[in-house]
Amino acid sequence: MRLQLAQPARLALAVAITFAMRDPVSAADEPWRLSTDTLVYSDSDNVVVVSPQVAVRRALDDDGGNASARVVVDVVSAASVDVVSQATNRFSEVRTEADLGLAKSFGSWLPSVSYRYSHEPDYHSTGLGAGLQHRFAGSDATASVSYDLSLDTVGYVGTGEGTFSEPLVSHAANFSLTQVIGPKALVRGVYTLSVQDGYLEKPYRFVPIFDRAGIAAAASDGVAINLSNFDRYRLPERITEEVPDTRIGHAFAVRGLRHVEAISGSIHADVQLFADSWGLTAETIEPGLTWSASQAILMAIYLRGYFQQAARFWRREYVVDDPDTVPRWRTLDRDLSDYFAATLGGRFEWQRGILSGYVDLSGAVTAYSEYLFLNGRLALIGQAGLRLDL
Amino acid sequence: MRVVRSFFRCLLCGALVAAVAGCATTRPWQREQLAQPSMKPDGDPEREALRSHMLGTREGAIGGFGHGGGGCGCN
Repeated sequence: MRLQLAQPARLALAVAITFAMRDPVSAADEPWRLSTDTLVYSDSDNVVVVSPQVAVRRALDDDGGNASARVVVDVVSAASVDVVSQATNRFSEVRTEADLGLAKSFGSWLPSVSYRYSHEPDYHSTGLGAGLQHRFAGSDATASVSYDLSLDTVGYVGTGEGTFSEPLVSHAANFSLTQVIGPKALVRGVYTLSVQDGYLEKPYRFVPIFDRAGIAAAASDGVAINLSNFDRYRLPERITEEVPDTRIGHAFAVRGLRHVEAISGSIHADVQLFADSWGLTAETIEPGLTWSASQAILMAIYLRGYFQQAARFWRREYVVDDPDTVPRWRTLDRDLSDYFAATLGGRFEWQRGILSGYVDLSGAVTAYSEYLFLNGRLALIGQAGLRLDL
Repeated sequence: MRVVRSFFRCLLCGALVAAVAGCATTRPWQREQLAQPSMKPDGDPEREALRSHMLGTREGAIGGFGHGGGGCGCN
Protein backbone atom coordinates (compact mmCIF):
# COMPACT_ATOMS: atom_id res chain seq x y z
CA MET A 1 0.00 0.00 0.00
CA ARG A 2 1.36 3.41 -0.96
CA LEU A 3 1.32 5.79 1.95
CA GLN A 4 0.05 9.25 1.05
CA LEU A 5 1.33 11.87 3.46
CA ALA A 6 -0.65 15.07 3.74
CA GLN A 7 1.04 18.49 3.33
CA PRO A 8 1.54 19.05 7.09
CA ALA A 9 3.13 15.60 7.31
CA ARG A 10 5.65 16.46 4.57
CA LEU A 11 6.49 19.72 6.34
CA ALA A 12 6.91 17.95 9.68
CA LEU A 13 9.07 15.27 8.04
CA ALA A 14 11.30 17.96 6.48
CA VAL A 15 11.71 19.68 9.85
CA ALA A 16 12.48 16.37 11.55
CA ILE A 17 15.10 15.42 8.94
CA THR A 18 16.69 18.89 9.14
CA PHE A 19 17.09 18.53 12.90
CA ALA A 20 18.27 14.96 12.55
CA MET A 21 21.01 15.84 10.06
CA ARG A 22 22.53 18.50 12.30
CA ASP A 23 25.57 17.42 14.28
CA PRO A 24 24.41 16.70 17.79
CA VAL A 25 26.14 18.63 20.51
CA SER A 26 26.70 15.64 22.75
CA ALA A 27 24.54 12.84 21.44
CA ALA A 28 25.19 9.21 22.18
CA ASP A 29 27.98 7.39 20.35
CA GLU A 30 25.37 5.54 18.32
CA PRO A 31 22.75 8.21 17.63
CA TRP A 32 20.75 6.30 15.00
CA ARG A 33 18.38 3.49 15.89
CA LEU A 34 16.55 1.47 13.26
CA SER A 35 13.69 -0.62 14.62
CA THR A 36 11.39 -3.22 13.23
CA ASP A 37 8.59 -4.86 15.21
CA THR A 38 5.71 -7.18 14.51
CA LEU A 39 2.69 -7.88 16.68
CA VAL A 40 0.41 -10.84 16.03
CA TYR A 41 -2.94 -11.05 17.82
CA SER A 42 -5.32 -13.98 17.53
CA ASP A 43 -8.39 -14.74 19.63
CA SER A 44 -11.16 -17.29 20.00
CA ASP A 45 -13.64 -14.73 18.62
CA ASN A 46 -12.16 -15.24 15.12
CA VAL A 47 -10.06 -12.09 15.04
CA VAL A 48 -6.52 -12.13 13.66
CA VAL A 49 -4.41 -8.97 13.49
CA VAL A 50 -0.87 -8.75 12.16
CA SER A 51 0.87 -5.41 12.74
CA PRO A 52 4.33 -4.92 11.23
CA GLN A 53 6.09 -1.69 12.17
CA VAL A 54 9.31 0.05 11.10
CA ALA A 55 10.82 3.08 12.82
CA VAL A 56 13.90 5.24 12.76
CA ARG A 57 15.10 7.39 15.63
CA ARG A 58 17.99 9.87 15.77
CA ALA A 59 19.26 11.05 19.16
CA LEU A 60 19.84 14.79 19.20
CA ASP A 61 21.31 15.05 22.69
CA ASP A 62 21.89 13.03 25.83
CA ASP A 63 18.81 14.33 27.61
CA GLY A 64 16.06 12.68 25.58
CA GLY A 65 16.10 14.90 22.51
CA ASN A 66 15.43 12.94 19.33
CA ALA A 67 13.78 12.96 15.94
CA SER A 68 11.72 9.91 15.04
CA ALA A 69 9.52 8.48 12.32
CA ARG A 70 7.37 5.37 12.51
CA VAL A 71 5.05 3.53 10.16
CA VAL A 72 2.76 0.72 11.29
CA VAL A 73 0.26 -1.33 9.31
CA ASP A 74 -2.59 -3.31 10.90
CA VAL A 75 -3.83 -6.18 8.77
CA VAL A 76 -7.14 -7.25 10.31
CA SER A 77 -9.21 -10.30 9.48
CA ALA A 78 -12.32 -10.73 11.58
CA ALA A 79 -15.47 -12.79 11.81
CA SER A 80 -16.16 -11.85 15.43
CA VAL A 81 -19.61 -11.76 17.02
CA ASP A 82 -19.60 -8.00 16.39
CA VAL A 83 -19.50 -8.81 12.70
CA VAL A 84 -21.61 -11.94 12.34
CA SER A 85 -24.39 -10.61 14.63
CA GLN A 86 -24.98 -7.93 11.99
CA ALA A 87 -25.43 -10.63 9.32
CA THR A 88 -22.06 -9.75 7.81
CA ASN A 89 -19.40 -12.20 6.66
CA ARG A 90 -15.74 -12.15 7.63
CA PHE A 91 -14.05 -8.91 6.61
CA SER A 92 -10.45 -8.01 6.03
CA GLU A 93 -9.07 -4.53 6.38
CA VAL A 94 -5.76 -2.71 6.31
CA ARG A 95 -5.00 0.28 8.50
CA THR A 96 -1.87 2.35 7.99
CA GLU A 97 -0.44 4.84 10.46
CA ALA A 98 2.55 7.16 10.23
CA ASP A 99 4.01 9.06 13.19
CA LEU A 100 6.64 11.78 13.36
CA GLY A 101 8.16 13.11 16.55
CA LEU A 102 10.71 15.72 17.51
CA ALA A 103 12.12 16.57 20.93
CA LYS A 104 15.11 18.76 21.77
CA SER A 105 16.50 19.53 25.19
CA PHE A 106 17.31 23.03 26.38
CA GLY A 107 19.04 22.62 29.70
CA SER A 108 16.60 20.85 31.99
CA TRP A 109 13.67 21.49 29.65
CA LEU A 110 12.59 19.11 26.91
CA PRO A 111 9.89 20.41 24.56
CA SER A 112 8.46 18.02 21.98
CA VAL A 113 6.01 17.96 19.08
CA SER A 114 4.41 15.08 17.22
CA TYR A 115 2.27 14.40 14.19
CA ARG A 116 0.21 11.32 13.33
CA TYR A 117 -1.86 10.30 10.35
CA SER A 118 -3.79 7.06 10.05
CA HIS A 119 -5.99 5.70 7.32
CA GLU A 120 -8.31 2.77 6.98
CA PRO A 121 -11.13 2.33 4.44
CA ASP A 122 -13.78 3.79 6.75
CA TYR A 123 -11.74 5.93 9.15
CA HIS A 124 -9.19 8.73 8.80
CA SER A 125 -7.37 10.36 11.66
CA THR A 126 -4.93 13.23 11.97
CA GLY A 127 -3.22 13.86 15.27
CA LEU A 128 -1.07 16.69 16.59
CA GLY A 129 0.74 16.71 19.91
CA ALA A 130 2.94 18.99 21.97
CA GLY A 131 4.68 18.36 25.25
CA LEU A 132 7.06 19.87 27.75
CA GLN A 133 9.20 17.99 30.25
CA HIS A 134 11.25 19.50 33.06
CA ARG A 135 13.86 17.89 35.32
CA PHE A 136 14.39 19.41 38.75
CA ALA A 137 15.46 18.59 42.31
CA GLY A 138 18.89 17.52 41.08
CA SER A 139 17.27 15.41 38.33
CA ASP A 140 15.46 13.36 40.96
CA ALA A 141 12.13 14.65 39.74
CA THR A 142 10.70 15.00 36.25
CA ALA A 143 7.43 16.73 35.53
CA SER A 144 5.80 16.68 32.15
CA VAL A 145 2.71 18.04 30.52
CA SER A 146 1.42 17.18 27.06
CA TYR A 147 -1.58 17.78 24.87
CA ASP A 148 -2.81 15.70 21.94
CA LEU A 149 -5.47 16.64 19.43
CA SER A 150 -7.02 14.08 17.13
CA LEU A 151 -9.26 15.04 14.20
CA ASP A 152 -11.04 11.98 12.88
CA THR A 153 -13.50 11.28 10.10
CA VAL A 154 -15.76 8.25 10.39
CA GLY A 155 -16.95 6.83 7.08
CA TYR A 156 -18.77 3.80 5.77
CA VAL A 157 -17.07 1.19 3.61
CA GLY A 158 -18.30 1.20 0.04
CA THR A 159 -19.77 4.69 0.15
CA GLY A 160 -18.21 8.02 -0.66
CA GLU A 161 -17.63 10.70 1.96
CA GLY A 162 -20.64 12.55 0.52
CA THR A 163 -22.87 9.64 1.54
CA PHE A 164 -21.65 9.09 5.09
CA SER A 165 -19.01 11.14 6.85
CA GLU A 166 -19.07 12.11 10.51
CA PRO A 167 -16.43 14.05 12.46
CA LEU A 168 -14.91 13.13 15.82
CA VAL A 169 -12.57 15.45 17.72
CA SER A 170 -10.52 14.08 20.63
CA HIS A 171 -8.45 16.04 23.13
CA ALA A 172 -6.12 14.50 25.70
CA ALA A 173 -4.13 16.41 28.30
CA ASN A 174 -1.51 14.49 30.28
CA PHE A 175 0.22 15.55 33.49
CA SER A 176 2.92 13.37 34.96
CA LEU A 177 5.43 13.47 37.78
CA THR A 178 8.28 10.99 38.20
CA GLN A 179 10.14 11.06 41.51
CA VAL A 180 13.23 9.14 42.62
CA ILE A 181 12.58 8.12 46.23
CA GLY A 182 15.99 6.77 47.06
CA PRO A 183 18.88 4.90 45.43
CA LYS A 184 16.64 1.92 44.67
CA ALA A 185 13.15 3.15 43.91
CA LEU A 186 11.11 5.61 41.94
CA VAL A 187 7.45 6.38 41.51
CA ARG A 188 5.47 8.00 38.73
CA GLY A 189 1.99 9.48 38.80
CA VAL A 190 -0.01 10.36 35.69
CA TYR A 191 -3.32 12.11 35.23
CA THR A 192 -5.07 12.19 31.85
CA LEU A 193 -8.08 14.28 30.98
CA SER A 194 -9.68 13.10 27.75
CA VAL A 195 -12.53 14.75 25.89
CA GLN A 196 -14.14 13.19 22.84
CA ASP A 197 -16.73 15.13 20.90
CA GLY A 198 -18.52 13.94 17.78
CA TYR A 199 -19.60 10.65 16.28
CA LEU A 200 -18.81 7.92 18.80
CA GLU A 201 -21.10 5.21 17.45
CA LYS A 202 -20.19 2.46 15.00
CA PRO A 203 -22.14 3.01 11.76
CA TYR A 204 -22.52 -0.75 11.11
CA ARG A 205 -24.01 -1.55 14.46
CA PHE A 206 -27.73 -2.19 14.97
CA VAL A 207 -28.99 -2.81 18.48
CA PRO A 208 -31.56 -5.62 18.86
CA ILE A 209 -34.68 -4.45 20.70
CA PHE A 210 -37.00 -6.78 22.56
CA ASP A 211 -40.47 -6.38 23.94
CA ARG A 212 -41.78 -8.10 27.05
CA ALA A 213 -43.51 -10.76 24.97
CA GLY A 214 -40.18 -11.73 23.36
CA ILE A 215 -38.44 -11.96 26.72
CA ALA A 216 -41.35 -14.03 28.08
CA ALA A 217 -41.20 -16.33 25.03
CA ALA A 218 -37.51 -16.99 25.61
CA ALA A 219 -38.23 -17.71 29.27
CA SER A 220 -41.01 -20.12 28.43
CA ASP A 221 -38.71 -21.88 25.94
CA GLY A 222 -36.24 -22.21 28.78
CA VAL A 223 -33.38 -20.51 26.93
CA ALA A 224 -31.17 -17.50 27.55
CA ILE A 225 -31.12 -15.06 24.65
CA ASN A 226 -27.78 -15.22 22.87
CA LEU A 227 -26.10 -15.03 19.48
CA SER A 228 -27.75 -18.18 18.15
CA ASN A 229 -31.37 -17.27 18.98
CA PHE A 230 -31.71 -13.49 19.44
CA ASP A 231 -33.19 -13.08 15.95
CA ARG A 232 -36.09 -15.31 16.98
CA TYR A 233 -37.12 -13.16 19.96
CA ARG A 234 -36.25 -9.59 18.96
CA LEU A 235 -38.55 -7.01 17.39
CA PRO A 236 -38.13 -6.69 13.61
CA GLU A 237 -37.05 -3.02 13.74
CA ARG A 238 -33.34 -2.39 13.08
CA ILE A 239 -32.37 0.36 15.51
CA THR A 240 -29.02 2.07 15.02
CA GLU A 241 -26.60 2.50 17.90
CA GLU A 242 -26.87 5.86 19.64
CA VAL A 243 -24.53 7.15 22.38
CA PRO A 244 -23.91 10.68 23.71
CA ASP A 245 -21.80 12.91 21.44
CA THR A 246 -19.46 13.93 24.25
CA ARG A 247 -17.40 11.70 26.50
CA ILE A 248 -15.14 13.14 29.19
CA GLY A 249 -12.71 10.79 30.90
CA HIS A 250 -10.37 11.00 33.87
CA ALA A 251 -7.52 8.53 34.25
CA PHE A 252 -5.12 8.47 37.14
CA ALA A 253 -2.21 6.05 37.19
CA VAL A 254 0.67 5.32 39.56
CA ARG A 255 3.75 3.27 38.72
CA GLY A 256 6.19 2.07 41.37
CA LEU A 257 9.57 0.61 40.47
CA ARG A 258 12.09 -0.86 42.92
CA HIS A 259 15.48 -2.44 42.39
CA VAL A 260 15.94 -5.94 43.86
CA GLU A 261 19.57 -6.87 44.36
CA ALA A 262 18.91 -10.59 44.77
CA ILE A 263 17.70 -10.97 41.19
CA SER A 264 19.76 -8.18 39.61
CA GLY A 265 16.51 -6.70 38.52
CA SER A 266 13.41 -4.88 39.63
CA ILE A 267 9.81 -5.30 40.61
CA HIS A 268 7.17 -2.90 39.38
CA ALA A 269 3.46 -2.31 39.82
CA ASP A 270 1.06 -0.13 37.88
CA VAL A 271 -2.31 0.86 39.29
CA GLN A 272 -4.77 2.82 37.21
CA LEU A 273 -8.25 4.20 37.77
CA PHE A 274 -10.54 5.50 35.08
CA ALA A 275 -13.97 7.14 35.19
CA ASP A 276 -15.92 8.94 32.51
CA SER A 277 -19.04 11.01 32.01
CA TRP A 278 -20.92 7.96 30.68
CA GLY A 279 -20.65 6.30 34.08
CA LEU A 280 -18.04 3.81 32.92
CA THR A 281 -15.34 3.06 35.48
CA ALA A 282 -12.30 0.81 35.23
CA GLU A 283 -9.42 -0.33 37.38
CA THR A 284 -6.17 -1.74 36.04
CA ILE A 285 -3.39 -3.40 37.97
CA GLU A 286 -0.18 -4.65 36.41
CA PRO A 287 2.57 -6.09 38.59
CA GLY A 288 5.76 -7.37 36.98
CA LEU A 289 9.27 -8.60 37.52
CA THR A 290 12.34 -7.83 35.39
CA TRP A 291 15.74 -9.41 35.93
CA SER A 292 19.11 -9.76 34.22
CA ALA A 293 19.89 -13.35 33.24
CA SER A 294 23.32 -12.17 32.08
CA GLN A 295 24.91 -8.91 30.99
CA ALA A 296 23.26 -9.23 27.60
CA ILE A 297 19.94 -10.83 28.51
CA LEU A 298 16.97 -9.30 30.29
CA MET A 299 13.88 -11.30 31.20
CA ALA A 300 10.48 -10.07 32.36
CA ILE A 301 7.15 -11.51 33.44
CA TYR A 302 3.99 -9.52 34.00
CA LEU A 303 0.35 -9.91 34.89
CA ARG A 304 -2.34 -7.42 33.92
CA GLY A 305 -5.79 -7.33 35.40
CA TYR A 306 -8.45 -5.05 33.95
CA PHE A 307 -11.83 -4.65 35.66
CA GLN A 308 -14.54 -2.58 34.02
CA GLN A 309 -18.00 -1.47 35.17
CA ALA A 310 -20.44 -0.69 32.36
CA ALA A 311 -21.60 2.67 31.09
CA ARG A 312 -24.86 3.64 32.77
CA PHE A 313 -26.91 3.17 29.59
CA TRP A 314 -25.53 -0.31 28.88
CA ARG A 315 -28.12 -3.11 28.88
CA ARG A 316 -27.72 -6.77 28.04
CA GLU A 317 -31.14 -6.57 26.40
CA TYR A 318 -32.99 -3.36 25.62
CA VAL A 319 -36.63 -4.11 26.43
CA VAL A 320 -39.35 -1.68 25.34
CA ASP A 321 -43.11 -1.46 25.63
CA ASP A 322 -43.44 -0.49 21.99
CA PRO A 323 -40.88 0.05 19.20
CA ASP A 324 -41.58 3.82 19.08
CA THR A 325 -40.21 4.31 22.59
CA VAL A 326 -36.68 2.94 22.25
CA PRO A 327 -34.14 4.17 24.81
CA ARG A 328 -32.43 7.36 23.73
CA TRP A 329 -28.98 5.84 24.34
CA ARG A 330 -28.40 2.25 23.29
CA THR A 331 -25.26 0.41 22.37
CA LEU A 332 -23.91 -3.00 21.48
CA ASP A 333 -20.29 -2.03 22.09
CA ARG A 334 -18.93 -4.67 24.46
CA ASP A 335 -16.11 -2.28 25.38
CA LEU A 336 -18.80 -0.34 27.28
CA SER A 337 -20.04 -3.40 29.19
CA ASP A 338 -19.08 -5.07 32.48
CA TYR A 339 -16.06 -7.27 31.94
CA PHE A 340 -12.81 -8.53 33.35
CA ALA A 341 -9.61 -9.29 31.46
CA ALA A 342 -6.46 -10.96 32.73
CA THR A 343 -3.21 -11.13 30.77
CA LEU A 344 -0.12 -13.13 31.67
CA GLY A 345 3.02 -12.56 29.67
CA GLY A 346 6.76 -12.88 29.51
CA ARG A 347 9.48 -11.08 27.59
CA PHE A 348 13.00 -12.01 26.58
CA GLU A 349 15.41 -9.21 25.58
CA TRP A 350 18.94 -9.62 24.31
CA GLN A 351 21.75 -7.43 23.05
CA ARG A 352 24.84 -8.31 21.05
CA GLY A 353 26.96 -5.41 19.84
CA ILE A 354 24.90 -2.98 17.81
CA LEU A 355 22.05 -5.46 17.45
CA SER A 356 19.38 -6.08 20.04
CA GLY A 357 15.94 -7.60 20.08
CA TYR A 358 13.08 -8.99 22.09
CA VAL A 359 10.28 -11.51 22.00
CA ASP A 360 7.14 -10.95 24.08
CA LEU A 361 4.46 -13.64 24.41
CA SER A 362 1.24 -13.36 26.36
CA GLY A 363 -2.13 -14.99 26.79
CA ALA A 364 -5.28 -13.14 27.76
CA VAL A 365 -8.69 -14.24 28.97
CA THR A 366 -11.71 -11.92 28.94
CA ALA A 367 -14.99 -12.65 30.73
CA TYR A 368 -18.11 -10.65 29.83
CA SER A 369 -20.87 -10.78 32.40
CA GLU A 370 -23.56 -8.80 30.55
CA TYR A 371 -22.87 -9.18 26.83
CA LEU A 372 -25.61 -10.73 24.74
CA PHE A 373 -23.40 -12.39 22.16
CA LEU A 374 -20.32 -13.59 24.01
CA ASN A 375 -19.40 -14.83 27.47
CA GLY A 376 -15.66 -14.71 27.03
CA ARG A 377 -12.69 -15.07 24.74
CA LEU A 378 -9.12 -16.27 24.83
CA ALA A 379 -6.36 -14.41 23.03
CA LEU A 380 -2.75 -15.14 22.19
CA ILE A 381 -0.49 -12.18 21.57
CA GLY A 382 3.05 -12.37 20.22
CA GLN A 383 5.34 -9.43 19.64
CA ALA A 384 8.94 -9.38 18.47
CA GLY A 385 11.37 -6.68 17.46
CA LEU A 386 14.91 -6.02 16.27
CA ARG A 387 17.01 -2.90 16.93
CA LEU A 388 20.10 -1.74 15.06
CA ASP A 389 22.12 1.03 16.74
CA LEU A 390 24.43 2.94 14.40
CA MET B 1 -21.99 9.28 41.76
CA ARG B 2 -19.46 6.63 40.74
CA VAL B 3 -17.65 9.27 38.65
CA VAL B 4 -17.45 11.63 41.61
CA ARG B 5 -16.21 8.85 43.90
CA SER B 6 -13.55 7.79 41.39
CA PHE B 7 -12.50 11.38 40.89
CA PHE B 8 -11.90 11.80 44.60
CA ARG B 9 -9.95 8.54 44.68
CA CYS B 10 -7.78 10.00 41.90
CA LEU B 11 -7.29 13.21 43.87
CA LEU B 12 -6.22 11.19 46.90
CA CYS B 13 -3.68 9.21 44.87
CA GLY B 14 -2.44 12.46 43.33
CA ALA B 15 -1.88 13.91 46.76
CA LEU B 16 0.15 10.83 47.71
CA VAL B 17 2.36 11.17 44.65
CA ALA B 18 2.78 14.89 45.27
CA ALA B 19 3.73 14.11 48.86
CA VAL B 20 6.72 12.00 47.82
CA ALA B 21 7.96 14.71 45.44
CA GLY B 22 10.77 16.64 46.97
CA CYS B 23 12.31 13.64 48.76
CA ALA B 24 15.99 13.84 49.63
CA THR B 25 18.24 14.30 46.60
CA THR B 26 20.00 11.18 45.37
CA ARG B 27 23.77 11.66 44.93
CA PRO B 28 25.37 10.70 41.59
CA TRP B 29 27.29 7.81 43.20
CA GLN B 30 23.98 6.43 44.51
CA ARG B 31 22.49 6.13 41.04
CA GLU B 32 24.12 2.91 39.87
CA GLN B 33 21.02 0.81 40.47
CA LEU B 34 18.65 3.47 39.17
CA ALA B 35 20.63 3.51 35.91
CA GLN B 36 20.18 -0.20 35.22
CA PRO B 37 17.99 -1.21 32.24
CA SER B 38 15.46 -2.93 34.49
CA MET B 39 14.86 0.39 36.30
CA LYS B 40 13.75 2.38 33.25
CA PRO B 41 10.25 3.69 33.99
CA ASP B 42 9.51 3.86 30.25
CA GLY B 43 9.88 0.82 28.07
CA ASP B 44 11.23 0.83 24.55
CA PRO B 45 9.04 3.46 22.80
CA GLU B 46 8.47 1.49 19.61
CA ARG B 47 7.59 -1.68 21.51
CA GLU B 48 5.27 0.22 23.84
CA ALA B 49 3.56 2.02 20.94
CA LEU B 50 2.49 -1.30 19.40
CA ARG B 51 1.41 -2.77 22.74
CA SER B 52 -0.50 0.36 23.70
CA HIS B 53 -2.40 0.35 20.41
CA MET B 54 -3.37 -3.30 20.92
CA LEU B 55 -4.59 -2.59 24.47
CA GLY B 56 -6.55 0.40 23.16
CA THR B 57 -8.68 -1.92 21.06
CA ARG B 58 -9.32 -4.31 23.99
CA GLU B 59 -9.97 -1.97 26.92
CA GLY B 60 -12.58 0.73 27.32
CA ALA B 61 -10.48 3.08 29.46
CA ILE B 62 -8.52 5.97 27.93
CA GLY B 63 -5.27 7.54 29.11
CA GLY B 64 -2.99 6.94 32.07
CA PHE B 65 -0.06 4.72 31.10
CA GLY B 66 -2.06 3.25 28.28
CA HIS B 67 -3.56 4.37 25.07
CA GLY B 68 -4.98 7.71 24.08
CA GLY B 69 -8.31 8.21 22.42
CA GLY B 70 -8.80 8.61 18.72
CA GLY B 71 -6.80 7.45 15.76
CA CYS B 72 -8.54 4.15 15.19
CA GLY B 73 -11.98 3.14 14.03
CA CYS B 74 -11.48 -0.40 15.37
CA ASN B 75 -14.77 -1.46 13.85
